[in-house]
Amino acid sequence: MRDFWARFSRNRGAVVGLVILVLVMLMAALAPVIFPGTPWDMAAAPFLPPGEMGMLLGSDSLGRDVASGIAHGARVSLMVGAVSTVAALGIGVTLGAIAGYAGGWVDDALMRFTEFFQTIPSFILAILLVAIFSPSIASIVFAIAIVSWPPVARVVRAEFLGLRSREFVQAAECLGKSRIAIMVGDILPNALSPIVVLASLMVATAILLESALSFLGLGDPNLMTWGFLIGSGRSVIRLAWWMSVFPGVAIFLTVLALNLVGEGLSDALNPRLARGRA
Amino acid sequence: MDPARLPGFLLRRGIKAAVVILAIVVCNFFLIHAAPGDPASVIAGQSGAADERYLAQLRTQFGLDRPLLEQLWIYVRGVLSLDLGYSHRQQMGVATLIGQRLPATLLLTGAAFVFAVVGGVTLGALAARRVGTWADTAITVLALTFYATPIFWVGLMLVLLFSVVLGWLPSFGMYTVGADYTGLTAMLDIAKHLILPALTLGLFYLAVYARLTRATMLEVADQDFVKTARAKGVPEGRILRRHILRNAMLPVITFAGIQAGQLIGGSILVETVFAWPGIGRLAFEALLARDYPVLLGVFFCTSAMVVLFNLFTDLLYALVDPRVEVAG
Amino acid sequence: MILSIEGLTVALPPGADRRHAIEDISLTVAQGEILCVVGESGSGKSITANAVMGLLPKNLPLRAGRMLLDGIDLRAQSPEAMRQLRGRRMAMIFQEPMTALNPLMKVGDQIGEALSVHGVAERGRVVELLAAVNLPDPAAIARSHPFRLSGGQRQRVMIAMALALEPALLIADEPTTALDVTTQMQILRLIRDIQQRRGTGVLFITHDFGVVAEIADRVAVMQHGRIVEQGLATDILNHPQHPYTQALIRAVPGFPKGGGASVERGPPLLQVSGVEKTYRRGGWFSASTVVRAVHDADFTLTRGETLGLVGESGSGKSTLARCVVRLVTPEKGEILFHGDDLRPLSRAAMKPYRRRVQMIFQDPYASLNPRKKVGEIIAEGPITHGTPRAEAWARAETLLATVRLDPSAMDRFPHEFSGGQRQRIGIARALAMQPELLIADEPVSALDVSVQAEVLALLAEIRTRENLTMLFITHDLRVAAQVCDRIAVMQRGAIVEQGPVGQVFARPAHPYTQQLLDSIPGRAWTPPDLGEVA
Repeated sequence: MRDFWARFSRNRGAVVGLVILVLVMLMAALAPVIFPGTPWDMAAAPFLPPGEMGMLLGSDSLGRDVASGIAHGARVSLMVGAVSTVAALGIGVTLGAIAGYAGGWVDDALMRFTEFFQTIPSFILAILLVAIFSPSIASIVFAIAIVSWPPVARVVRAEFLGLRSREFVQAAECLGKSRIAIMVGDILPNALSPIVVLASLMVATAILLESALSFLGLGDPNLMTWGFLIGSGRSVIRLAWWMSVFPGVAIFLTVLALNLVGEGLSDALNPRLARGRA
Repeated sequence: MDPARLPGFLLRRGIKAAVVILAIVVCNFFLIHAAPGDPASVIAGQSGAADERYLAQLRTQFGLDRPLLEQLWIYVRGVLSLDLGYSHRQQMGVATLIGQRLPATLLLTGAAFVFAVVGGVTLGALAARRVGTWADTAITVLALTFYATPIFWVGLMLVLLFSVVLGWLPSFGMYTVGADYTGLTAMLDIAKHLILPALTLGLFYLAVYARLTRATMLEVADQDFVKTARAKGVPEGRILRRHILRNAMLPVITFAGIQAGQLIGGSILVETVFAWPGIGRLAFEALLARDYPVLLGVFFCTSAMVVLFNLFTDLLYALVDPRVEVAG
Repeated sequence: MILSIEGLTVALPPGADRRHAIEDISLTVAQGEILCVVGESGSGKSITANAVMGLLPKNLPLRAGRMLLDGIDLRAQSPEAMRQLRGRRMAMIFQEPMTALNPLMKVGDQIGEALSVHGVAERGRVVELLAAVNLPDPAAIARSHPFRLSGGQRQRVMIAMALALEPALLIADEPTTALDVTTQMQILRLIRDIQQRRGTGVLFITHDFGVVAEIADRVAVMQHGRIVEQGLATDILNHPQHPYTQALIRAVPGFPKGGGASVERGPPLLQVSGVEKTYRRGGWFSASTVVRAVHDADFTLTRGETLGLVGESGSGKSTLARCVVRLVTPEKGEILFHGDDLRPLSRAAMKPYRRRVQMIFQDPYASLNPRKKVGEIIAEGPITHGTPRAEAWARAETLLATVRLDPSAMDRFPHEFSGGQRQRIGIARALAMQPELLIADEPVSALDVSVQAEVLALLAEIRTRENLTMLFITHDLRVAAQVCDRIAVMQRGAIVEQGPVGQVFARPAHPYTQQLLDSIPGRAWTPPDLGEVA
């Protein structure tokens, strides 16, 4: 564990990313304290530039506080990112593990299925799913999970395929252990590093996807999100640049932080590959 | 690959592509049926004022009173004869609508793709060659930045900078409205309108290609055959071009195939931001109006484009890598 | 002198287990001479070779010493001058022929490149060179991509490439280690042949004393980055002076002396008959190729005996062994264990037999789960079969003593142990199940010679004490001769000959057995009797 931290913190970017991520999480957690009430309420005159009348980041066309919207939006973004990643991991790890361990026609069939999902334009599928099942937090998480599991399945399958023929797995077979025990007890722990790294990147991608859906007007109508803020500021960008700029910065910083943490995790978990960045 | 094996290879991949396209059609069908409510009203759109006559027409078209499999067959047959349905709102066949908008999207995605590949591979190769120097750091940071920025926001920021503040480039549309340019001036006009959207769409993928190229080049540079080349006295520049770069291109080709779908998906956002008259914009308009036949048509059409593009990258890969035919 | 090295020292990066990768290395290679540098893994022999070529990685800086190639001071050369020398005056071949060639470039182009980068016109030389290394149909080979060629063919291509400009010095870094015995012998003869014809000086790196006996004029023995002994091959092989050299030579297995001690044959424990395993490769649309991995491979194991299954890679010996433990399911045949056919058994029905048949694996670095503690690795088998945890744990501790490891090993992870120690843990894991039949799949081939000898001795001891029956798979005839009562020789999926060890060695009946025996490197050399360790 100490080794892990030593290797992680050797990547300075990863440490910066972790700090940003913790700040964003704090902001999300403390949003109701710093900005009590809902972010939908009018707080000041419309179109106030940043800094005026206590509006740190300005107000929007209906006089809502942009800063409050960003803080409350962080809750939604992080939640959607985390939940949809967990769901996608559930699908991807299960299918990938079965395909890689079973091999043969099972593997063939599952991989064709995965390839199919990788071929179809994922963003358009996500739009379709959310539009057809009507926008809500559940349909958004569902749509993001449905379009993000294929890379997990491929990575897990490749790991399982490689590990399955390793001698320690054959030894476990020789001991008479059950399939499930071997998959969960012997192979999965050795395949965790790439899954962990991938998961951190997937949270980032999920946040981007959610913001894009909200930007197009497919966000949950009851929830304030970063994408929605940018979308609503788009038409008045000549008048009120702050309405689109600050939520975008929030997305950028969060996604950047997750990517940096992902690289740090990758360095820490696979010291062998951590060259060229030192 | 041995050129003599090309027809067989193309046939196999062609069959595979056809299966995928068929699966997408089936997927479309089940999407309609998975939606809550009567499929006919889903297709007609819940929000709009769908008249009874249209609903009845849809019910006949899908044979909604017949068994599910038969409905599927009717639907598949329709799509395969390029009948993508009718947009009640636009009063036009979906296929015609998409056909009108397709060239603009192809121009945009094509320009963005070329920009992303050429720029990304160049920057990635440069970074790998100067690994550890300030140039490497700069490229890595730049790539990470664009990788982490939402596409639509990049678009808005570019508009803010180049149109609103500097006033250099037009911020929306494909042509100057009412200018009626012809010939070369018209092309220049389109090119001018194309710069910002293509840049917006391309920057994210440029970042992806730069990262990928850098990583694979470093990986290939560590392989035994590079050491062999060095041991026989091959100059460094030639090692880079002939041995490292060529091998590093294989994952780049694979990736180009995989992300083609994402590029088209991204064009929805970019066309929305820049009011670019392509199928992405069409999809956005259809989305606002809950015009499902158009949305499903766009989904089918873009999927088919991706499948075709994958066919092309498969072929390219097979031509570069002699081992493909063995791997099947 | 073609090459003379004096006081060469290369540093290791900070934090390594010693300060220098190699220290104060001095050696010479004369024209037409083969100098073998021998040592176990980590002794610094490859680093010496790379230093001469100017191919040291950046994190291994050259600290001191002189290297003269034909009178040219290599350390004083600019990078460009070094590049000119590489390929032209000195060339190198590597251990792994499978990865040493660019997969996207035709073989002929790769050899042509070796000529063209030094300004020599190609003009038919490529085909000539390929012919000179005895490749059949050189013109066709020149047009092929590397993946079409076998390992032996690729290594010949490497040699052709290295010799393209007739360099004065050839450095061969374990060039036959990744090859099968018969191919190894052909490559060794080829190197010897070409070197004698052209008067090339050869720096030959190896870990195998058999290869040394086969090819060396002079020998330098390396340990921990230093040369501990250097001299004429005959002197070192027959009268080693340094204790380390003596230990290495003592570890080389000798040949059976007797004419086949007949083993008393009791009731059969395992009878394998008519087993067939075929692999099909190819997807749904492409034409599939069929490989008959095992066929015509009947054998019987009597209680208490050790049968050696000998063959080259791809001969099917590992597949056959895996059929017995059902890691591989054969399509046909009978695998009778005490008369019960194991082949048709389901996963559940096979489980009771898992206790009685256990396996030891080849790669000590891959055969232990890196995420589990040693205690759990040994105890989990019995626990799976219903032994109470405390009892299995206690027994694991006893077994660690049996394989001569400290009981404190229980709470440590595999990566904290050396290759030899890990192999002992693997043996303990198999013994924990108290098996009757032990299948050992190349259990020592990934180990250094001195460690090999220890593990083999341990296996022999356990086998006698527990009255184990053993199926011992190996590619190394010397090892087979030392360990086995009987041996079965496999070729292309079939057993071509079997019999008592002495008999097969003394009077091989099948031409392939004969060929295998002839390919044992250094067969003419009998390791001297150095007595037991003082």
